[in-house]
Amino acid sequence: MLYALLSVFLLALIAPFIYRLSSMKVPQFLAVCTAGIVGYFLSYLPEIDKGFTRTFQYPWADSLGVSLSFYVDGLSLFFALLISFFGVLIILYAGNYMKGMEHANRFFGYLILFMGSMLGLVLSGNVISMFVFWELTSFSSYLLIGFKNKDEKSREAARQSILVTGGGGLVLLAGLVLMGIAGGSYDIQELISNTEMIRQHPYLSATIVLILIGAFTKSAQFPFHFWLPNAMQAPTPVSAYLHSATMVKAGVFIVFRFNPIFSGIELWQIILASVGGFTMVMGAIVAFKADDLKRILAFTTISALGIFFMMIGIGSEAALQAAIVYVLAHALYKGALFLAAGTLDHECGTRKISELSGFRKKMPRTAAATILSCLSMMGIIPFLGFTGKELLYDAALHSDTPYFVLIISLVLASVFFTAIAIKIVYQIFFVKAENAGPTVTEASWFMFAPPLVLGLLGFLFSVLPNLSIQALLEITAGNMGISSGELDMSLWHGFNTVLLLSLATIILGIILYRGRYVFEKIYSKLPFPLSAIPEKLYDGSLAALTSFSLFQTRAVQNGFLRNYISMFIAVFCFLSIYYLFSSGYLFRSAIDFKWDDIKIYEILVLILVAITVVFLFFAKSRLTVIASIGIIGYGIALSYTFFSAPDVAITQFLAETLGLILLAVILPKLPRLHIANQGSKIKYFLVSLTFGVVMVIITLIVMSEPGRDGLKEYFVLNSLPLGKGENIVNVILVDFRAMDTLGEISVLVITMLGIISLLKLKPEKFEL
Amino acid sequence: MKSLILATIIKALIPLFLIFAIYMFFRGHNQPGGGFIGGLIATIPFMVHSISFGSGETIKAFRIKPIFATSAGLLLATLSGVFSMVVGNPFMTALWSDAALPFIGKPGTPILFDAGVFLIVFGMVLQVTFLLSDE
Repeated sequence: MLYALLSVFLLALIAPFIYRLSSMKVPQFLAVCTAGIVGYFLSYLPEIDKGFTRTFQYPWADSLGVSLSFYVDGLSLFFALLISFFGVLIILYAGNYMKGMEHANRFFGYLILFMGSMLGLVLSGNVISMFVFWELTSFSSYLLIGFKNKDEKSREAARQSILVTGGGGLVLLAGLVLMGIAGGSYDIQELISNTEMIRQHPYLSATIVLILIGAFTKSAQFPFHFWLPNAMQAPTPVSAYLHSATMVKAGVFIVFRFNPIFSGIELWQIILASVGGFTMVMGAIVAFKADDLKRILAFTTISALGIFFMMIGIGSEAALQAAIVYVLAHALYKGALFLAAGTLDHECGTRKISELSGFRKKMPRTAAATILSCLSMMGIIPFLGFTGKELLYDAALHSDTPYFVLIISLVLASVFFTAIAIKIVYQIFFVKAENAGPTVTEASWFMFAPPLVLGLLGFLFSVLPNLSIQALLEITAGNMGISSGELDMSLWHGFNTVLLLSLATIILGIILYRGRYVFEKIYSKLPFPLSAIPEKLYDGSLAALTSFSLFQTRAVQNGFLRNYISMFIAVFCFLSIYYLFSSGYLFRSAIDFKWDDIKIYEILVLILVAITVVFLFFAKSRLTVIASIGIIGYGIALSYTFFSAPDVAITQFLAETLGLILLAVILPKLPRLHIANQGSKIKYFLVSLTFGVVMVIITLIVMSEPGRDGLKEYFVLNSLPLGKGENIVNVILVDFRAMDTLGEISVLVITMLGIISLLKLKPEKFEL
Repeated sequence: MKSLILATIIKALIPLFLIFAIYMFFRGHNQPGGGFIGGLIATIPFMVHSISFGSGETIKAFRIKPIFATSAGLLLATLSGVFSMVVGNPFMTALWSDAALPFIGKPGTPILFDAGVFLIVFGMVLQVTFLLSDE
């Protein structure tokens, strides 16, 4: 399992490089590789269908009780198959869609990276690795949304999505950790078996709320839904893959996954049912009003995600079964519709429904795919959408919660879905074009085949459920709940309430479509669109953040280097003094000072340095300053030699020399030495004085404390036998503590890069 | 800063400085010296050269790109720690060869590490010098 996942990530790594070989054949090659992954997952199908599960465990961070484990049961296999199968179709489609676009090679890398992360997420048997993959999906989604990185709107949408979903991810992490603490493990299977511990724990409510917020951000539920319509800036294959079929279902997935732990708890059920139900209705209404095809699809996706959450909120066995069947139905029809929208956009250059008409004759195959999936969306017999909707109605009717509200809102959303489907099909394909419009021909095989396949699958799965997916869906629904029951996916149940509701939905949908002008009039009279408020809040807080950071930058960073340095030193002194006082070090240590040991030449050097320091303070020109600093530096270096530290002394001498040469080079180019007034001079003097005093005290304390850890002795003893060198300082630097040195030289390199970018890159050369 | 004396002398001194730098580098294991000091010494002649001829001239004459020296140094220092991983020891464990080389003695991976330090210091100081004198 680990190798299968790693191979996906490896594929993501090499995809951008091999893409240049052939822009047509490489996507096909990638699709074949992905099909191999599908095959791999299919090989688990017989086993899982019988109700078995598989666990793969690899050591990861054992000391923290975290291992990298993968768990295959119906739920994870169902999602893994969905993700990898869609991956194949999307890669094939994108091969054609992206051809000739700038950086198309990167696109495939990102896309496959996303696929790997998503597979990791659904297969994770451990909440920590689940979180890691969760954030990886947010990250790859960010890259894909901002793919057209020269377009400001894309960048903004990408930032918005990563702030919302990434922030939600952090909330989720908090929830997962709380659950781990309560359940005593990070392993999902163990958590599920420790359900009682989690339910008894005082953290229960916090855990539930945090996990749900995480899920709602990812799955675009109100009030976090606004990032999804904006994410439509991404190339259409991405919208089809990430933002309808897979990634946005990640939130639904974890709620499915943890449902056995929390199901039956009132808080869990109520939040899910109310947020899901509200989002469902809101999304459907907003979608109907929109004109941009992708925006319509985005809002219907939000609405459909709401349906899933609402179903878990109902929580009965039938509701879970309905949810999983509808997940599949939705993925199939919505993926196909997105791809068809992408084809239309690709061939005609517009996605506005009002500008598209008469395409049945121009693009018959795309039309067929769209019609198939729209029929499924409307819930017409015998498509999977019909089966799904029947199950949804049935679950809502038989729920013990106040089903009246649920059923009415569900029907309302379905009515809007129906009207939207009619709007898409009728206006684009059946209304005759008023003017000739652009001459469009049918898109190539790779572009119309994937949506057609999805549309046909929606038909096949529904007509022949026994031969295809019924068993897997039944097991999956069982994994989501506490017990598992039989799933009845047959199309015909006889005349009953559910069928009547279905019929009513379609009729009402047609009426709504006919009365769409009335609807728009009412809608435009609403005082404020509720769905837009969260985005306004987001924009407002982002603007506030920017202006706050501008304010504090102006306040703290005034552009004078000497200010920064004195600030650093002052803070350092303050902290040191605070620590010395609070820990009592200042008074405790007996400083053993032997005046007799001091040699006359040591005092001479000291006096020289001291005089120069005083002189430095009154210096009028930079040359004097540089010369004084040189004298001080050499004096200190000299004192190192007195105390038998030749290595340090040589380094200090060299550093002083080089510094002097360097200053000599740039001296003529520097502005005149200028310190504004006596006040600031005194300020700097005080800072320097404090720093000196603090350093002296610290040095004395360090000297008076005997080395307790025996490091000194260890290094002296082992330098020659282990480090094979007599120069202990150097052996420590390059051998015993080489890791520290590596860190230091890395910092050195980074500093150099910083200096280069500061000096070489002029702001006016940037294009922002 | 054009000075005929400086310009003439520095040309003659460059090899001397470099030999001294390398000497200090190898000496470092048993006596004061080492990669850091060696690297600093090695920069001095080029620094002075760039003062008297301009940094463009120095880069042209010696075909040095300091940033390459730095990156090569970091790579070398990191790689020197990887060798021990091949044998199965933790990263950065020193490995020593049994065969002695003339003048140097028995080489081990720490000398590669120190050479990395040498290159980084050399490249960093030169790069900053060139940049500052270009300003």
